[in-house]
Amino acid sequence: MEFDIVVENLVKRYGSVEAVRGISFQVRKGEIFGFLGPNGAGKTTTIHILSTLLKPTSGKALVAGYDVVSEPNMVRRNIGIVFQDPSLDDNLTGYENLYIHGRLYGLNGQGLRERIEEALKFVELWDFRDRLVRNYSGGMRRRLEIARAMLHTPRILFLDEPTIGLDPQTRVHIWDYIRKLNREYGTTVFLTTHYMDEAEMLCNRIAIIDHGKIIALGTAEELKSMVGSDIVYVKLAKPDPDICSKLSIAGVDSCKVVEGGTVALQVKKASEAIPAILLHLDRLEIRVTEVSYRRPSLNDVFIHLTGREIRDSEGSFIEVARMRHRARMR
Amino acid sequence: MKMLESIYIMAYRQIKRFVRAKSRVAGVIINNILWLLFFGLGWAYTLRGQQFQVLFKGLDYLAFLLPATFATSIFQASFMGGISVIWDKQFGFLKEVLVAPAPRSLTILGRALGDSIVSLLNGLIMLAFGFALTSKLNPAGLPMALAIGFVMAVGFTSMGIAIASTMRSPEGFQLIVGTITMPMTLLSGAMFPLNMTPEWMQILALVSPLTYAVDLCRYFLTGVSFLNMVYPWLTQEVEALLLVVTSLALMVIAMRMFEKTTIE
Repeated sequence: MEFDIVVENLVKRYGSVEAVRGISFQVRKGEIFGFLGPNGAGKTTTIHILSTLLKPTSGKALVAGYDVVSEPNMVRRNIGIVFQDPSLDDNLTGYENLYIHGRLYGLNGQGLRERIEEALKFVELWDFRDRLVRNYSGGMRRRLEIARAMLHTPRILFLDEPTIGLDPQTRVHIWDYIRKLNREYGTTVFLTTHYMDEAEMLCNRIAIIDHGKIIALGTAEELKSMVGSDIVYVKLAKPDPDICSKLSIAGVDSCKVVEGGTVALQVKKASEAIPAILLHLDRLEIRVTEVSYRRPSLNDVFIHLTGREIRDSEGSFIEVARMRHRARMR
Repeated sequence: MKMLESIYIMAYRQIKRFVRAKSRVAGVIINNILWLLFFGLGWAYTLRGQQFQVLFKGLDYLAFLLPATFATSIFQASFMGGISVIWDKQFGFLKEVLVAPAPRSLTILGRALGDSIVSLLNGLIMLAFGFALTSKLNPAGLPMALAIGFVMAVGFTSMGIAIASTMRSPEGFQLIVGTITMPMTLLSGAMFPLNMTPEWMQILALVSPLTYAVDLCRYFLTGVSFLNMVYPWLTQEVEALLLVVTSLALMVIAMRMFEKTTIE
């Protein structure tokens, strides 16, 4: 296995505050790797160390095979980065921003012009290339920053909260670009986010970070399996305290009556269990007014590990599929 | 080649930004006109007459003032240029430069050169009004005056950058600029001849490189050097040497300071 990022026992201290408290992980070549955690968990500090903008207090970090402390120039050559806060020159056009970036990375002439065109078309900003960045929308700026970060075809792309503050549609767009970049150019992506859905939709593997420490690491599925299986909620037309005894069928691992005549059933796979459950209830002539199910989310994983929710998250990260079922009338 | 590349592109950026900022260009021109009209013409009319020509070694006040204003306007614009480092910190563009593989000392050098060219343009606008207002300036001295202007611009831009590298807020920088530029401008001998001032004031003036720049520009554009008349050892060559050395030193300091800039 080839690794593009290797971090060993990394520590960053600001005075007496430890922002990063001894983290270790590896990012595989060509992978999309995510750091998921609440604000202030040490995500940005880590990205700044990996991109050579900050020096670690102790520990080791290799990016593209180069040490971030002793070979920062080699690291810089191999990475592209989109910062959490804007970093564009507002008084220049989109094209000029990329042009200056390209020249700073040693590109020039026809080759640079072609790369700029490709990058701007990639993020669908080619038509706006001569507009001042000052007049770009938030989403356009983000896209331009992605185009800029990929301009010099870096081996590794760092994205610090790539969709923070963007509307849902734009977020989906940005995700598409990141996936496409990873697929078409084989770029290794390291991103930080505090959005569950973003980590889940994009990342091959996720490290959950809290208070400067990695508390869990794995694929979204692996992480969620730490919490358990799917839960199906069935609302009955008439509350029945003995319902659980009637529901001991294959596929239902446990049963619990919650208030208002609703039963919570723990199942392995909701999509397969629901039809069986409904068929069974129908045979017993028990009327059902509503069925919903909930898959454990990364938020449940976070709660499971820390006892807290990831703070100020936006959007709905709890995937709830609602299915309304009208019981057949007799 | 690679080295020139990083210098060139940052200079390009600074100049492009200046040209783009129409209000900044207009502001410079308007300021220059107002200064020359109200200060220059005001004193020129007050100090009219033969008896005052002795004070200015045969020059009239406008011919005395204009070449020096060329130098002081470059000084002020250059020094102020450092503020763009702080803006870049605030608007985030600095991170983009810091994370690039181009050496920081060269990107900052490019930036200083770009800002120097901008402030030289500034001085040229001023000088164009000067040539329109009086016929006593010698156009043959223009190339030398521009050379002096450029050397001092590099020095003072570097000084601005070095100070800005250590600061966070534009307000704080402006405060420092104000407390440094005002005394330096007044002491430079731009507005009154230094040879009439008390000795302690002359000593202070001689510490400031701006004084030499003002004297040299005046010498090349009118043929009169006030410093040389008082201090025979201060020939034009010595003055030029002092100016070049100071500018180079300031440049090295700026490069060093910028290397240490972090995003923390």
